[in-house]
Amino acid sequence: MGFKGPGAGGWGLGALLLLAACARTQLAETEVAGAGKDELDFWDAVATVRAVSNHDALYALLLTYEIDPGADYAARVAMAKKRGWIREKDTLPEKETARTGWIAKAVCIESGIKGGVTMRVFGARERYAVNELNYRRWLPDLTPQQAMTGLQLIALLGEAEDDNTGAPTTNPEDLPK
Amino acid sequence: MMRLAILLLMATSVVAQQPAKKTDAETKTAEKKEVKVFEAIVLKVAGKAQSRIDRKAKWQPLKINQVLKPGVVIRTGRKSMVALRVGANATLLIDRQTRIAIPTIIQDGDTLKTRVSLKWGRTEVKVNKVGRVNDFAVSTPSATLAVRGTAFRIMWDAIHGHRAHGVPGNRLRAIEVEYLRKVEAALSSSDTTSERFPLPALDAWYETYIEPLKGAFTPAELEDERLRPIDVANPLDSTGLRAGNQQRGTKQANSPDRQ
Repeated sequence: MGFKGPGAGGWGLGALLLLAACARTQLAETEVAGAGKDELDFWDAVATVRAVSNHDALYALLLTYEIDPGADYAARVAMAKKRGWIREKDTLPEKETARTGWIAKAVCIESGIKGGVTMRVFGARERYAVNELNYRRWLPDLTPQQAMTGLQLIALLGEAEDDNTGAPTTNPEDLPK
Repeated sequence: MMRLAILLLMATSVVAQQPAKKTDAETKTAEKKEVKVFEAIVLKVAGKAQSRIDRKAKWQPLKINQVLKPGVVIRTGRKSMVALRVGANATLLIDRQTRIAIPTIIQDGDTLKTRVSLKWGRTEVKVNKVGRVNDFAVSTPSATLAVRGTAFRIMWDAIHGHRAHGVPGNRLRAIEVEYLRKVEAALSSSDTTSERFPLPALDAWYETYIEPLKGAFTPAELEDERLRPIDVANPLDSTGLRAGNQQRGTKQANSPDRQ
């Protein structure tokens, strides 16, 4: 009485479940559309979401670094490709949850963060960018594939703003004793 | 005859002093009962900053010299800052990307009572000694700070959680922090305390029951026990849900002998 492995149907079902598990969550809507014209309304709306969409993250990054957000989502994606935030072949579905990887890469590029030896040698790849921002404690030990909450995105961009404007550090350990 | 005259003089002076004593006592009692509602005034605005008095009102841009009533909610955008004089004893510097509410600014008898609710962002606070008892508390989604005349910076964000820093000039145990998970900390001089993890359930409880955005209360409303705003620093006691005062730190911070 030997062990019988799963049949073709079983393997197929398993593969399907694995694919479904790896797929990113699609959100019902983005906050960019619902927040109205006021920038502060947009930030308030982003603060309430449990996972930011690609469109929200892209718009927030463009606002933070004072880059023209363009007229629509396609223009924003084109700008992201132009500035090297994502690769040419990458697609960023508008309502898909944003990966921490490309957000971290964009922050490192725009804030001029060079990182450690690996990042200097291989460039601002997503993995190294996330590691660098985790090391700086701009991120709460996230991985490149994880999604971010709205408040985490606001906090990350706040740290980037402080870094760019030369505001005093907010890390308690870095304060003078 | 001389002895009688002295006795009469003494009796007269005692009788003359009695009404004066009564008046002093009455004045003190009246002063203790008196509740004044104060306001905040905008000293400086940089960048984009807006306020509204309750959740249904529209956001309005903040202007210099604008008077804000208790219950006001303030929000700032990127590269923005607002400086406020709050009541008789405090100055608030609200930094970039901050959401903050000031539900209570009152003088209750001899106590200057101010409550600030920081939703996220960061703010610097200076509480001056003005000859009254300072009862200044700041609540964040992770903790409540009780402050006696001092200066400090408080921050809350989703990555680092709650962080509070004193300034070097602070006295011993000038800031007392009570985290929502019932851990207490006291800061002296430029000490720092932080709590990385927020407690969303307790924060929601605060939001629901304390209702910091409810707005100003008139002195008449404050007299009514049912309408008395819940003490942010001592919520369980003021709602009667907790028997006895277990919040040692907060009580100490409010006592006049520690001023």
